[in-house]
Amino acid sequence: MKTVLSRVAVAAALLSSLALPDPARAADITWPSHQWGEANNAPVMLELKRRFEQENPGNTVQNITVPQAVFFDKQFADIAAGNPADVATMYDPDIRAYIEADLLEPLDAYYAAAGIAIDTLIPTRTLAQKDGKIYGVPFQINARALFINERLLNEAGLQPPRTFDEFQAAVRKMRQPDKVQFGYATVSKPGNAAVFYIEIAPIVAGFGGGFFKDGKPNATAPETVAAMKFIKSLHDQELIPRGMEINAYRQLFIEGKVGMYATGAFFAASVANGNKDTFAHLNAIPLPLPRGKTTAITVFLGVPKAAKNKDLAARLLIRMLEDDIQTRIVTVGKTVPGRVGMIPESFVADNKWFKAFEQAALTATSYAPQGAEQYGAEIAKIVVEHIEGMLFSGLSADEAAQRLQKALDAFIASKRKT
Amino acid sequence: MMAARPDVAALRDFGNRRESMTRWRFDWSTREKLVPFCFLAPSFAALAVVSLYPMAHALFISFHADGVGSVGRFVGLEQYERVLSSDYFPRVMRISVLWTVGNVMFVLAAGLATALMLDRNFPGRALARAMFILPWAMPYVAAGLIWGWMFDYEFGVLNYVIRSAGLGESKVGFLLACPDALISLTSVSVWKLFPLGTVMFLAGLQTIPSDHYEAARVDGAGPVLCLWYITLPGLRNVTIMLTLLITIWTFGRAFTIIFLLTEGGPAGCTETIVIRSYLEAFKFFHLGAASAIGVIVLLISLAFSIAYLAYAYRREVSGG
Repeated sequence: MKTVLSRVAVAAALLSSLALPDPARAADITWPSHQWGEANNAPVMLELKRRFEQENPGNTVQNITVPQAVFFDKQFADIAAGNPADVATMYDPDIRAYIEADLLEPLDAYYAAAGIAIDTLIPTRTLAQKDGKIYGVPFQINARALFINERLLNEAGLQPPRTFDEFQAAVRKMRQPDKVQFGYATVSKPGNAAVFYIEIAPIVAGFGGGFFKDGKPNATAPETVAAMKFIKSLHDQELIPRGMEINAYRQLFIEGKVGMYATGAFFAASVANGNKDTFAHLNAIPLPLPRGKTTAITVFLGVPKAAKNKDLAARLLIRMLEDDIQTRIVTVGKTVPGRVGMIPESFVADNKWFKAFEQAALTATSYAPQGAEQYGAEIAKIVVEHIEGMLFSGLSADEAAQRLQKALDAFIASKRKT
Repeated sequence: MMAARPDVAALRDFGNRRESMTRWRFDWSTREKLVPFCFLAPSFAALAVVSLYPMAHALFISFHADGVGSVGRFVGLEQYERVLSSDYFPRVMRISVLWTVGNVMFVLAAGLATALMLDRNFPGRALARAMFILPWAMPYVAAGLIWGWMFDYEFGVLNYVIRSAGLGESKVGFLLACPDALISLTSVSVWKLFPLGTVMFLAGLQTIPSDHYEAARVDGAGPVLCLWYITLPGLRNVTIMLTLLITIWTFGRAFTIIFLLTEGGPAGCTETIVIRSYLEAFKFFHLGAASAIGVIVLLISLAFSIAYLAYAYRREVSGG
């Protein structure tokens, strides 16, 4: 009996030694992301994986493609269950929420070891910072500028708009209902609050407004109300495709049915893949709205505290900030990378449309509600419900703004209470 | 050839061993009682893992503060209090009830109408029956995507048909206004569910003896009187069962079609309590609140389930 017990004990010890992670042992870094399936980002990420594996023999990066429709839900479920992957992908409001919930590992030591100064990162890096520590690596910044189809503008006898009046005139002149052609496209489909909020944020910023300012609701500010009136006028006059899903009106732009569309630089890769003719006539300009401001979405990568291979994952992410990968984010990924000054001049010379995004990235603010970023998703829901009320229930912009302000005030008060 | 003599000693030994075995094993009647449980055990184990454990864990989380990666501190009934006193709760409950009532009413009506039609003899009846079952067989996601395009404001076939048929010049925003969006979603859900009603009503119609109709006709009853005095009373049990089933399904599962087509919009006018639970968990990271909502949905569904089981039991006992 003793022999049996001792054998069982030895076997259990052997098994447990196999189960425990050994820091010196080779590891598989798990990196699920919807971006592995994106035509512009996948080659860059695969290049990073290849180089990292070469430089760290025995360690591998598992590229796990997850469809975007379910990616963020799955990532959250894994983190909530205490079983996260080694790399997490987050947009602006989410990284704040994750930092506030103490779910991410600080990366300062890794930045220091790689000799990368934090202030050489794009301005929206501040979203990943708290109490002097940084919890993420900015992969790319998608500052919003206005893509234009020069062929449609030329056919309408127009030049790229430089002022708000010219922009409005161009939106009207390019609209041709019989050809199902629109001068401009933006969101007008109810439901997905995150998409809706992202799409209207640069318009509101372009008027100098914002739903939040320094952590306080700002819906009734004249600039915000003016932006809401503009959005309503586009919708009511059927100048934009109404009730259409974002991918559908993006496809309309690719097919040459939309003259102007405000989004991030990443979209150029979709146009290039989708329609050579539209890509040949593609250009981009800063948003010609009254105040000339814009917003950006920054894709952050971080290492969850409960990740199994934290050290290696952090080194992988910092590796992304080296010059070679940063350059490829521009030339292959066609987006603005996390470090300032990494855009090759030759690329901008060959891709004139990129200039607007390069400039926008330096001044754009995050689309997340300023000063209340950690509540981004909830605030987006409240804002979008009221904008939808304005667009689909005949509410005036002034009244919608008043009601929105009241709802946001109540929301912030409830947060203070808890 | 001589027949082999039985080995008496061996037989005695076998009998003794058997006796000694039955001494510590269960007797025959106990074993007979245990057999069904043994057959049920694998299913129960599977259900416990995929259903009971998550339910119990959700109940556990609902008594704790919102936490991600770890369970928050114990807060008792605070999450329930917060959910029940929130601004959104009366709204999402009202929408859930409207959604459920709409589904039950129209599934029953459409199911009964098609069952009465398909119960008659006509050429191609088998084909017609198969066609009416098709919506039920179609996956929810595929149905949602197809209907989404059909409802589309700019390119939807429904708006095209309306204009082509001269029924209206301006386009209809099927999913763009309240209450149009809720009506549109209910119609998709009814389209998807009514074949279930048809099948159950058809089965119910087969159980009504034909001589009842013959006797009624001899007494001069027309089709309307036959429907009122024979068919509907004959379908009473099916109707009650179906009502309870559809109520449980539509109230507790008011998600897929809504999420695919409107995600609760516009302005929250199609946001059911189930959609809100999803938003609280996956968009706002409020696991405690989401779990509390889930438990509330469970309790409401449970009330209908108990009613359903009680009715089914009573029917079985009475042999109805």
